[in-house]
Amino acid sequence: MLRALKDFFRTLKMELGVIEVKKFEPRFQTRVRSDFSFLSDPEVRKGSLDIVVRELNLENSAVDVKSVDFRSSDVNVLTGNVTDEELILRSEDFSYVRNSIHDLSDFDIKTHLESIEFHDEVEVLKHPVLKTSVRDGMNVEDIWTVRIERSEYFPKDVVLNVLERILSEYKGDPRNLRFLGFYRSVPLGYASKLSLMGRDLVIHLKRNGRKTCVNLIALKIGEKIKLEVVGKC
Amino acid sequence: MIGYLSVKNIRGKFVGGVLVVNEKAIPVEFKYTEPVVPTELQRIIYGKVLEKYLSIELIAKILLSKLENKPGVILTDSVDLIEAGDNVFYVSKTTSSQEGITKVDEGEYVLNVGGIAYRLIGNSPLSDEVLEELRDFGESFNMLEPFQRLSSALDYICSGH
Repeated sequence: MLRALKDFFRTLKMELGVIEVKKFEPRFQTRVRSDFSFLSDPEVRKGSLDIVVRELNLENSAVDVKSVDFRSSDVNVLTGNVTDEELILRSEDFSYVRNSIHDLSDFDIKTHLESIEFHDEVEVLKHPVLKTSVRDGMNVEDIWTVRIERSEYFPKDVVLNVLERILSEYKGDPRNLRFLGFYRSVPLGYASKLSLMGRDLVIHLKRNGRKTCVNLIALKIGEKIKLEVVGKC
Repeated sequence: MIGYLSVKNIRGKFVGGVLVVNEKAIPVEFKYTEPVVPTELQRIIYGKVLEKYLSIELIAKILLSKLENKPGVILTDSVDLIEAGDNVFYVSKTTSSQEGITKVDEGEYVLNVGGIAYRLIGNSPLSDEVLEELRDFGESFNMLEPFQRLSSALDYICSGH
């Protein structure tokens, strides 16, 4: 069997002239076991694998290979199902295995996986598995704190009318009055507290409220902040 | 209702949350996962797929399955998480000169509403009803704002309150 393989690759090398066959040859040996770790929810299993590949199609020429030896460090199985005695891999998983055998990956190989068996010494490791638990977080305060950025686009005529009215009512020095921003869609019916943080309007929401939604402008008058409703949304 | 889904790796702890808000951006439901810290052995065994496996399979899918409210669309800030469900859409800011909703491709849209353009990418098309809901929401609110709340909440949860 090995002789036939060697002959095949020798002639292939002669024909193509570019394939490094020497690296390839030692990989074909009789059955070789590989130490192997496999994770399957909810267990990590470790054991030896005997991998038998019955078909290897190499650029339209079929070669019958009994066993392929690959180092376990080259193998990374993404998903699979483990039952008590056997490991079933999907074909795409095996493709991944195949690609990780770098000495073979230079070739266009179609593999057919006939069997993978765990040996007797399969050992179940008691190891904490990755799992999560889901909690209800409606009491987490952060989800009730909304930051609204000031809007760059706003109805200027509406805002100017409101500013005009405020100015006419304001008895102090008009130079103490500063426009800070326009804030759209403020859920006022749910607001328990409003404040400015930088340029953002920060709203602390109540658990229950009314669906009143307004547009606001923020003004600084002296050292005080004034929020004025300029319309509903 | 619109859902917001996020999974974070905060100082080695994986944690996820899903926040459902109503049309006024008020929380209707919030579920989160207890932080998960993979062991060194688990990191070795899962290798490169660890983060994806944790984020999608262990956190996002479980969170969505536990939701009592079922929003028409779940927005996420991670493109990987669109694998968690057919109605999960990655959303990000973009630029567009075209107002309203533009279908870019199957499962990909640009929404230019309220002066902000958003790109949505998912694995399946959105119904007209859901697109309408998103447009209405976007006209009033910054569609990305609930992610800030989610992010703060997950930070808080990870801080071991």
